[in-house]
This record gives sequence, C-alpha cells and structure tokens, in this order.
Amino acid sequence: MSDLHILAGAYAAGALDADEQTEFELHLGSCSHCDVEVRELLETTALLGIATAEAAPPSLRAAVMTEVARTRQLPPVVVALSEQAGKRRGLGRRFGLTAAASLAVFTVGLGAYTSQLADENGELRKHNEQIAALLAAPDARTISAAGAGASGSTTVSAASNRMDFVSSGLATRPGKTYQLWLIDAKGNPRSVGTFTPRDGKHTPVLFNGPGDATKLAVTEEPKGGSLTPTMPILMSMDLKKA
Amino acid sequence: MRLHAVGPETAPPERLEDLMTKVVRGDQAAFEAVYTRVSGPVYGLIRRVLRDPAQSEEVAQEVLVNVWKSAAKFDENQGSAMAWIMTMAHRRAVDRVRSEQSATDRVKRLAVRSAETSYDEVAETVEIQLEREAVRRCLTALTNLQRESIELAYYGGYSYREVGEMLDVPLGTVKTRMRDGLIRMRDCLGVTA
Repeated sequence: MSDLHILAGAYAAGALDADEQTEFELHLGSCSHCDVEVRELLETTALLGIATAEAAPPSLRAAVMTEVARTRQLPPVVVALSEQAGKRRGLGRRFGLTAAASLAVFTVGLGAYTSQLADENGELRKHNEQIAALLAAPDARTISAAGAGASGSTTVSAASNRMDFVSSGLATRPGKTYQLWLIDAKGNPRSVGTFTPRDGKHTPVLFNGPGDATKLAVTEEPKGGSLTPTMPILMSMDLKKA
Repeated sequence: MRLHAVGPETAPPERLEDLMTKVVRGDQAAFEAVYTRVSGPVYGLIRRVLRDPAQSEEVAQEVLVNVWKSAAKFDENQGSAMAWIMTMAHRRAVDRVRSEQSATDRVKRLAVRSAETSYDEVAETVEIQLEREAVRRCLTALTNLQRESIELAYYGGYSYREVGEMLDVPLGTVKTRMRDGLIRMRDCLGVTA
C-alpha cells in the first residue's frame, strides 16, 4: 500500500475504479494527513460541480418530494462508541467509560426514591414491584460503569426481556435530559427512555431488553429526547460481559 | 473562497449543515430548503456528465432522495454538506456513465461538449455565478495537462487509466497531474477543510 496518497487527486475526481476506490478508502482510515488533503480536494471538486449548476426541471422536485414522503430514513450507524467519542472530542465532559471488568452489584434502595416522585402511590408501587421482580429474576445480572464523579448500572434479565438503569452523580443542565440507548452489534441505536436526575439521583428507568443489543449507552439530549443519539456517549455498558 | 450554498432568498441563510441536522430528525420542510439550495448544482453536474436529460433527471432523483434517506450518515466533521452531496451526485453520475456507455461513445460525447460551453446557461444565484467564475479563472491557471486530465476525469467520468490512454501519458504522470492540478485549484479557490 505504498504511495497510495498519490492517488488523492484521482480519488477526489472520481477517477479510480471500484476496487481502487475501496482500497484507497481503507488507506484513508489509517493516514490522518491524507485524510485532510482528501477532504480539501473533495471540497474543491464540489466547487467544480457547482460551476455546472443548472436549474432543475419542476418535475424533478415533484418526483423527489413524492418519493421522500414514502421513504424511511436510515438510522445512524454508531461505531466503536466510547472510543469514537474520545477521539473526536478529546477531553470532553466524559463521565463514564466502558464496563468494569468485574461485576459490581449495585443494590437499589427503593425507599430512597419515594420522595422524588410526584406520581400517585399506585404508580410508584407498581414501578417498585417491577424493579423488585427484575432484581429477583434468577438470571438477573448487574453491570456497572463509573467515571469522573458519576456512576451507573444496569440490571439485565434476558429471560424476562427486562432491564433497568440507574445512575448517580449526573448533573442536569437546563433544557436538557439524559437518554438511554440499546445498541446492537452493527451500531444501530434504539431509544429506551429518558431520565432527568435531581441532585444527581433519579428513579430507575425500566425498559424491555436487551434483545440483540450488545451495549447500553447514555447521552445528553435536549429536553424531550432525540430521535438519534447526540455525541459524545457519556456512559456505556457492555452487555456481553459476565 | 469558502464553500457555502446560498438560496435565492437574502440574508441570513441557515447553514446547510444545520438544515441537515433537522433532516436527520425527519423534518421535511428542512429537506425542501436543502432541495432548493442543492438541486441546481446536483442536476447541473449530473447533466454535464450524462448529457441525456431523462437519465440525468433519474439519477438526480436517486441522489436527492438518498440525501433524505441517508442524512444520518452525513458527518459535519468530515466536510461540508455541499461537498457530501456533490460527491454523492458525482459518484452516481460516473457509475451510471461507466456502466451504460462505452468509452467510444463517451469520447464522442466529450467532443460535442467541448464545442458548447455550459457557462452561458442561465445562472441562478449570485453565489453560483461567483463560484462559476472563480472555477473558470482558476482552471486557466493550470497547465494544459493538469486541466485536461481533471476535466476528462471529473466531467467526463473517465478513470485515470483511460485518461492516460487518451492523452498518451504514463499512469504515474496522470496521477500526479490530477493531484497537483486539484491542489492548485484548492489553493486558488481558497478552500480549507
């Protein structure tokens, strides 16, 4: 793979054949200065393209909008979550890292949360019962993560397809909330709930899972949550461990 | 010249990247705004490469629908939204031209194209007019070999091997000229990543 960078111009101009293009893109993944040059040359060829701009026929707009109205969007592919977040943002606000190597049983003191809920007693009792049932499941296992001043843990019962998540020490910023995502091996995220801690505490979030998910991740989102995770991942638990 | 796209409306236009963030969340109105900005460049480029209006419209539709469908794949850290979209448009046009047209047909098409210039097409916005002028000016600053190899590749959809054959130049030279030529264009146009 020597001197592949000499192909940067041909690549940007679309002048490589399919195999060469694949090989070149693989090379880009491991050569950061090539990457900058290629990005600049792609911005340059984009300008060559803009120079040919021509008003599109109205029939094109109609056809595109019709098709868009019935086209599902692809979800984002989230790859190598914690590692990617670290690479992009450097020393960001990162609270948690990947799962601890050994199991840490994180017992949940249910009584501590009663004062936090404005719900009716019935709702609270039902919620507590569900948590208790989960903790008591024969195959229940708990996975924790901890970082700078915050910690989180999830209890998983694959047999009941139920999980919960609770954290301690996450600060709540105005207009923001935290959102939980179950992520499969291909990196597809599925939102399973949001939580807004008060003084670093919140009631455990209960949800169905894990299904085929391999990780549980936490991100900070605008109040109301988001359709897709906003980087960086703040906490991530590897569900395959233990 | 910083690469950005501006629609027919006046100031201050929303960044295409910010519109794309909304498109990721399924905002169709934001997608319509994206369409307004990019449909001219997308269609114009595809038309320049493919020539045939019906095929061009078909490929442009594929590209624009894919901008909606794969919006989540756009990563602002990797480059501008315009570059992402135009690269997609260019690749699809080149794939189509290579799979459907033989090299001899393409030589004939190129000869026809050289005689007509697309520069007297109806211009849309002041920004596109400026970009067009800047590109034309910067292209004249290249050597003939740099310019011809880039135009054959980019507007003609030829691979660098085909360019080498057509210009009767060794492969290593073609690669170098394409890279040097685009670097000079980059600097002339003031592009930064």
